[in-house]
Amino acid sequence: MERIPILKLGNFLLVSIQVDMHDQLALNLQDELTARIVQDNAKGVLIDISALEVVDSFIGRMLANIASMARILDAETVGDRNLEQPRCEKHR
Amino acid sequence: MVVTTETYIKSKEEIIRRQQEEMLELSTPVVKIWEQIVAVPLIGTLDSARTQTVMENLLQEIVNVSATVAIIDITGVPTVDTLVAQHLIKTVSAARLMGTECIISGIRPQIAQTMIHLGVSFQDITTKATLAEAIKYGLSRVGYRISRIESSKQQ
Repeated sequence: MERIPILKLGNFLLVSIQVDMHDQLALNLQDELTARIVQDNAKGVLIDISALEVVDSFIGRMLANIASMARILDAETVGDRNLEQPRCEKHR
Repeated sequence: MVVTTETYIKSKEEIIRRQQEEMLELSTPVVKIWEQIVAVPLIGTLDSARTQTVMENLLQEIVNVSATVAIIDITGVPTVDTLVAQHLIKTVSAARLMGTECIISGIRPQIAQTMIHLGVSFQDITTKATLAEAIKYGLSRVGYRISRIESSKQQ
């Protein structure tokens, strides 16, 4: 099964999405990331989606959800989406 | 015969009622962590009756120790639905009116996910993943800092 690696960098978690994101993968990422935030006591999450070609509405919502979940678990989220900016704006 | 049965049932009901009351009282302890910091470790499902008791106990204890920080730990709460979240927010708002900052701690990953899916967010309420983090934050709010003693570092 495909998995998105979650790397720990000091107090932060780095999630670099290098593969094409399908729905189940996003759900798995959500599960795993929330668990890791609690386990590693993370203060921040960086999600890099610069390698993604398309962000559809579901993935967009998933990313927003993940950020809110991280916020509740007391970790800030930043998204690196310089390439995706125009497309992301559309879904807001 | 009927009288005996009725008396028996009545006495049993009385026991159940008393035990329920006792459980309600015992299930909501408010503990003082440090000067000006109190914590409520919640265990079990939160319903309206329990929230009411929790709120009353918490507010009373806030007055007693003149707390400026209150920690609500929900590690032992199995599920958080919109109603439970609403109860929590109510308690936090009440504590705020008394000048106490509330921290909600012990949010498990699964609960964080359900809450987001339900559209519940504790917008301007401080939330921490663990009770330890909440205590650390609370202490820093009242001007204390937890640090390791130099000598024990070497052990």
